[in-house]
Amino acid sequence: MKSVQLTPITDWQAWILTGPDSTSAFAGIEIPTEVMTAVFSDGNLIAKTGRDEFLAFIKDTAAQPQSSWCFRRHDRILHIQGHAWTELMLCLCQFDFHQMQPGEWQMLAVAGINCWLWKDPHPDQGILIGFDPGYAEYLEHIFHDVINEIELRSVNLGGAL
Amino acid sequence: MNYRLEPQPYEWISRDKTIRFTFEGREFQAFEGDSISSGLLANGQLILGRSFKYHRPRGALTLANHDANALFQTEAEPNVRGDVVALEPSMKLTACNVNGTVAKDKDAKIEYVARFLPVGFYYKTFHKPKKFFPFWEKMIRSKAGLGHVNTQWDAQRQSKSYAFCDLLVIGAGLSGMQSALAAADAQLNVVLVDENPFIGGSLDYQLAHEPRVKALRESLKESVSTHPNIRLYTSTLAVGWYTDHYLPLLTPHGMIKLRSRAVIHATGVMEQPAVFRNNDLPGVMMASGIQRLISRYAVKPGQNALVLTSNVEGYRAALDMFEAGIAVVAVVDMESIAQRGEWAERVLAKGIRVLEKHGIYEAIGRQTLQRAIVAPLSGESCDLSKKEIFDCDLIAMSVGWVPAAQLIYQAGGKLSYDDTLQQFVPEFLPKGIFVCGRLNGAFTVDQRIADAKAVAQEAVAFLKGQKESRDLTQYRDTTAHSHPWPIIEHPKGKNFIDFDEDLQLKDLKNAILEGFDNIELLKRFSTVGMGPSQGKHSNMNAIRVLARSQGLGINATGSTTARPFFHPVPISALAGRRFRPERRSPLHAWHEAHQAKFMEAGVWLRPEYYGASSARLDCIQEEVEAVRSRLGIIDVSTLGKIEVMGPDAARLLDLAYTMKMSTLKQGMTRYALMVDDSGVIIDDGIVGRLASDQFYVTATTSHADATYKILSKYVQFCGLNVRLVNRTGSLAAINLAGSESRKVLAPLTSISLSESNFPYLGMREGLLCGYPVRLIRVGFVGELGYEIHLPHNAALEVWQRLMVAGQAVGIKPFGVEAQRILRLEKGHIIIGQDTDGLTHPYEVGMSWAVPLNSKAWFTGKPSLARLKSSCQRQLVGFKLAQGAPKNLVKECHLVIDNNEMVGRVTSVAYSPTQQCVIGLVMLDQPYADTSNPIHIRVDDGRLIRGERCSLPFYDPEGIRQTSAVEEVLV
Repeated sequence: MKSVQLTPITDWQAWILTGPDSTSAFAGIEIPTEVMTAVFSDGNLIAKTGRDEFLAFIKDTAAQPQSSWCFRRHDRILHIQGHAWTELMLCLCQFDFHQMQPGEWQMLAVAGINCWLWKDPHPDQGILIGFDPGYAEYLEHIFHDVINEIELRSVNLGGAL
Repeated sequence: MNYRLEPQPYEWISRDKTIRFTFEGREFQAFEGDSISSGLLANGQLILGRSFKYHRPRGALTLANHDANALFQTEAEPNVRGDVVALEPSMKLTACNVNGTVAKDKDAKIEYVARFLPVGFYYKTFHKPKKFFPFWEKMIRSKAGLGHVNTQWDAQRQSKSYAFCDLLVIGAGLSGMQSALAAADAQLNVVLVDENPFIGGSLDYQLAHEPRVKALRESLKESVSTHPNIRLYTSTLAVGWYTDHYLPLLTPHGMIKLRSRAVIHATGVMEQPAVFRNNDLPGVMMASGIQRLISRYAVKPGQNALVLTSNVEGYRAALDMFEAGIAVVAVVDMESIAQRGEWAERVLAKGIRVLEKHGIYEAIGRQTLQRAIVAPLSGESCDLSKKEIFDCDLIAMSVGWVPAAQLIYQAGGKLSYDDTLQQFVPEFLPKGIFVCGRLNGAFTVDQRIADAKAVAQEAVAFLKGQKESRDLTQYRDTTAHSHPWPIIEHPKGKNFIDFDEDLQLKDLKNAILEGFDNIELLKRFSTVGMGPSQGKHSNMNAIRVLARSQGLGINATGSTTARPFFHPVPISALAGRRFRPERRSPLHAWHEAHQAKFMEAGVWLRPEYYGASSARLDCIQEEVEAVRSRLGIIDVSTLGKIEVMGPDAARLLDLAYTMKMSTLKQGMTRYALMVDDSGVIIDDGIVGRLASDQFYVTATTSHADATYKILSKYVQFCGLNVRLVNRTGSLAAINLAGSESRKVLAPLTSISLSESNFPYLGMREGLLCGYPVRLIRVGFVGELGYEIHLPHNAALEVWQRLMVAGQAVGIKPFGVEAQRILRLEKGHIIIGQDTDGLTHPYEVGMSWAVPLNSKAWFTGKPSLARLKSSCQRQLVGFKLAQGAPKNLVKECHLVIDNNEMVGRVTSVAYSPTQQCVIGLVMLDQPYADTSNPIHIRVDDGRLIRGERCSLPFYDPEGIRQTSAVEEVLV
């Protein structure tokens, strides 16, 4: 069993919605009210990224949002799990992942790439990370490199780990 | 002789794992866990290196990461610190800074001319006569420096990572462990670091045989190793302090950048040498260095030892040596034995002779220590009338300590000299910085534990926002552990203050006499403290010498500070993991499968051409030919793609681009040129209008993100009601170019491609192969063409269907190189290639894109209004004669006129259409305005003549891209 597992998430359709109509575009889907927060419900993840801007990840099988300024995105999304996921992320990003709360949404640079991150509210479920599909090869290669390095490293960190 | 001792209780070596290595070609054997120095000393190799200036033999001194004269050269690395770097199997070692071997160094003869090389000689000599300086320079360079860098090195990178904690405790000795534990018990998230591979610090070498601390040692080690609130990093150095407690931690695996809310420094003290003649001979060591050798590596560094001391630590060291089977011939106490208490009694009980109020006048030995002259101290000099000579091969110096306070200085802390302890101790500490232990003057075990608990309490209170105040002096010792003047004068000198730089007592005195009588000036002139150990052994004695010469106290004399990093850090650790983002289009795999050769375009990887590397030029020419004669297809997914929407969208684009976009008709596009406030060209693309309040903007590959940021900035600054969406990564783009493009595309799309419905520069939305697309009729390459903007996930299928559909007309994929030639034939510039950081539109013949009169305002307009009449350069087209070699002229070659540089080539290529080499040159005025032929200096120095010609080179009327080609061809 690897200390970190990467699982691609492919059953969501990703959208960016902006403009005054954006809020009403989510028929029956719960949306966050605060900027830079996210809501996960019925298998859909909606993040509010601006005054009237949302990133939406909607199940393939659900009704997709409709509005005048609603555009498809094709983010590469990975589920990062395993006991060493924070160690992996701390090699690639200067955010303090130990402080990240369940359900928290962040937009950070990871290995030099702009990404969004969402911490699964369920215990030990790790995080979701999404990024431009053009960087998929690069970022996944880096992730695997660092995971291998972490596994080869035999650092005794005392009782804290 | 075997120098290895019986197993020691806390030794670091694994006796069941033998390591073989070579030193200067001779084979040695040691144990896993041995350092290079301990491995050599265990084999009786006492000379470990040669000194920097005089090439005097030198040995081990501290075994504490400060042994600047025991630096080794491996096959891969220079200046490997032998006192702490672990031996590895098959290591091939030589000493640094040695001409020959450590036993026979040819450069040792430099010592015979030492009187011609006084302190600072290099500032004064070798300058006259001037003509000889190159000779001296060469010689000095060959003698200077330490190890040799292997220029065939392999790039090594260690990863960097980030960490966070409430409290960082530096030093896992008694004080560090106790304070970390107390803080962790108070629920702080603690990181504890220690430079050694094992925790315990001086408990395990200075108090290794002390039964009273046995239980305490075990308890502390167990507790800090298992406490859930403590992260423990061994073999880790905190090498610098930066604002807000940001500290780089150097680990064997790379650097950790740690952000802590507070820091406890339990870094301890560094032992200082006594200064007497020949105090640098191999065999003269710090007492703590000998204890480290015995306890950590079970190595006996000598047979007959003399201890020079002025504190109880010297007596403890004498007992440890006695326990290890070393004959202690005498303890030479510079002061009275009455101050030493039970430790002196224990030494006397072993039958060891103690000479109080004595000093070592001189150490004697040819290559290594053989004897020492000891005499009573009369004032501060020796009374030689009562001298005694002791045969010994080991001198243990235990005359004082300095705090390891480098990080405290960096944090803005202040230390002052304590006359009771005869040691610097912290006086002022910035917020969040705390100290404890011997660094703070707490020397006994009880003092150290009490001090550690108190500092933890103080740190906890600070982190809880409570008022904290602690008397730093509360647990300090009341007896001195350092001698105020451990320096014995000798008429023949060679009493070294700085072992790194071979500085003697007289060198410092001479420097002071020359006027360098400030500690910072003295340091820079004499280089005291500027060697590899960075003054860890020399600064204190240098301050004492300066203070005495000036008649000042130590505090008034001051001390130097250590900048970060205060300890050497490998470049590989600084380099970190390489983050070089690489972006791929959704068609990358198809390109790869079809022999594409990739090139970098910004962060993107793009096909340069398709085919074998050996036939590069032919492949590119064929691709150009296909576009000109039939049909070509290119992946342009790398273009920036931005949606601009809202009531103020047109105003935004009017502001950001030179040309007026608010007059653009729906369904049409316009060339978009972006300049900065100074009028310099920074980007271009097209703007298309989809609705009255919606535009679609493209940007160049390398400027896409910057263009998005610039537009966003204008939205914010001007308070515009506009929404921007950067869709560069979500959309792919394909350009179908060539006379057959309409014929191939038409059956696959729902959009009518007729000239009347879809004219040149038009933009239409519809379906292609069932996918929603935007088609833009633009012609960067100068042919009838359609840019297809489509969803990322549709790109591969659409590309493949276009390839199938175009098969009948001979469709061919083309890469960036062919595209560059095609656009050059059309005279289209590439921003960043044909322009530089100063180029404005008038210089590249784009005055048509600068509507100074018809547009009220756009970014850069005031600058361009001034630049219009003061154009200093001009982009000009040129051709070489037919038959001229294709690759002779290259981009950036210079244009020469009357031996003056008057321009440079910005673009050049062989044009299959023109059957000759064509290009663009940026020429200076007034030369640009002449009709003179241009002369280009090529690689071999020849001047190649080119003829100026008007642009574009191909289809100057633009008929092929603007009209229905079928009509043109008819």
